[in-house]
Amino acid sequence: MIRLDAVTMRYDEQGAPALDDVTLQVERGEFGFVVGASGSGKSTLMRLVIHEKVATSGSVLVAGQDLRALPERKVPALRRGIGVVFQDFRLLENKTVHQNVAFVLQVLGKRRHHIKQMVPETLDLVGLDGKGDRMPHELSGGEQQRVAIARAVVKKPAILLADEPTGNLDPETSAEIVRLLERINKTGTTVLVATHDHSIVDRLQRRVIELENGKLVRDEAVGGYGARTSRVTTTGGVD
Amino acid sequence: MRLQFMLSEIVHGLRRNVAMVVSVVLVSMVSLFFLGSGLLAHRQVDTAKGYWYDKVQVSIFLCTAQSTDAPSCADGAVSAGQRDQIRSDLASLEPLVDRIYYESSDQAYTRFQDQFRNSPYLGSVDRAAMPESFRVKLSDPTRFGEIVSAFDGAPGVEAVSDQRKVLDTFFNLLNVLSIGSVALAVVMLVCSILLITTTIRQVAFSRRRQVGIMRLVGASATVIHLPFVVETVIATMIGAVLAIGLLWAMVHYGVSGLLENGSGGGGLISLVGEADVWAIAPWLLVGAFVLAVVTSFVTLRRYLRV
Repeated sequence: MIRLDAVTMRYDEQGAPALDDVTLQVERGEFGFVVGASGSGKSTLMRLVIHEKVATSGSVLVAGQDLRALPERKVPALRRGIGVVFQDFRLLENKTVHQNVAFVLQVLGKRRHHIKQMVPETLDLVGLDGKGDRMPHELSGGEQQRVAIARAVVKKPAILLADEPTGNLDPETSAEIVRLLERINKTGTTVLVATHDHSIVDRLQRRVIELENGKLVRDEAVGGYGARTSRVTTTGGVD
Repeated sequence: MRLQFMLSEIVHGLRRNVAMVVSVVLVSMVSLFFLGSGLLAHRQVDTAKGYWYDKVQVSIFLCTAQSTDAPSCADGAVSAGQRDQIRSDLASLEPLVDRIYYESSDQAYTRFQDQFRNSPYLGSVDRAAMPESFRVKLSDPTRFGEIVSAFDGAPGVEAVSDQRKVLDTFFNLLNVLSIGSVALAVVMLVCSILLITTTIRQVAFSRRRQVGIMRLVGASATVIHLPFVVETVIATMIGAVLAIGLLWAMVHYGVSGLLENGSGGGGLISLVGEADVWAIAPWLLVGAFVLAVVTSFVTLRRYLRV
């Protein structure tokens, strides 16, 4: 679903690369954590996948498309297949919960009856049924992140990227959000979570991709945040 | 994007940025007003020139039954014999006389009606008062005096005149006004373009989260850009309509009003009227539309990447 092949990314020519010769592959329907300290390259990885930035060298393939050769007019179509969630939620403050989620379908030109059906269904999925009329500022942090997740998945993307989704939340709420992401993964969506939250990674024991100063230092099928049970191979597989 | 959703986004956007919208409306109104004034001054020159200005240098007006003031018209209206005499005298002056046009009283009245259609004096002019005339094109316009001396005071000739002498001062003034207002219009158009650019950047900044989300979920460039373009078009079109209103008021209460207050003089020169404002109005609207679309499109291409 997502394949990086010897990807290097430099934001400026002199500085150290944000990603340094990273090769990895995420299969369809997989659930993975991308871990590492701040500045290790997690967000850069996400940006490359949604084609916000273009890799300096190496190839990025998303859903079979080589992003180096992707013409500009096809970028929106690529992004329609990817949902993104951020640490700071990024909700539209002047719209209700329902309007925030419906907004996505509206800008994508979906028909009204489709929106009428999909929005409540999605709010139900993320556990916000009955809160559609609330404004974002009336909600707790965990609830706001649920709205953000609903907004990301309402268009039924094949891939869900979450960049520090629990960064602003307490441990208990974080656990709930991760359970929600797992639930979405079970519907067939490929989920990639960038985080430096030890507890959620350790609890779930799923695939862990670890970056350090832009280099891939660990990629194991099942693991915790810190435990280095195996070292990465050049093919991105597990020893 | 569904039409209804887009419209509600646009209305919402306009309401949230009232001050910006008003400034775009005003600056486009002022620039289009100057542009329109320049065009009207240009049309004024054309209107005042009338039918003969560019064709002939000398007009020989023949006596009518009413022209008793001139001694050469003591016998009343010009007779057929006098007319033929003048015609053959003119013909004998070739090659100085390049061409001779004859305008009958009826033709003169028709042209007068057309040229002075905006004048309140039109109704008070009697058909019989319109003199018939010979209009003469000279091979050398500077030898105008020879024609005057040959025909001034001849039997059946009421007056010999060179319309250019009368009109040229007026035209010089109008040309200066016209160039001046077009120059101001250009300055104001530059202001409009800069203001529209700044406004779009400002509005795009205030909506950066919304635009960011639109990009992220895969909205096409058209869907992201369209509200900005439509909002700019609406603002400049309102400006254009106000400018047309101002031009109308200027012509209606200024130019035409001047005539009705009858300080004299005005009747000598045919003036632009409301019909001329309506004639240039579509061009001002088209100009405003093109200005808005091109400016916003270029700005968005530069500052709002998708």
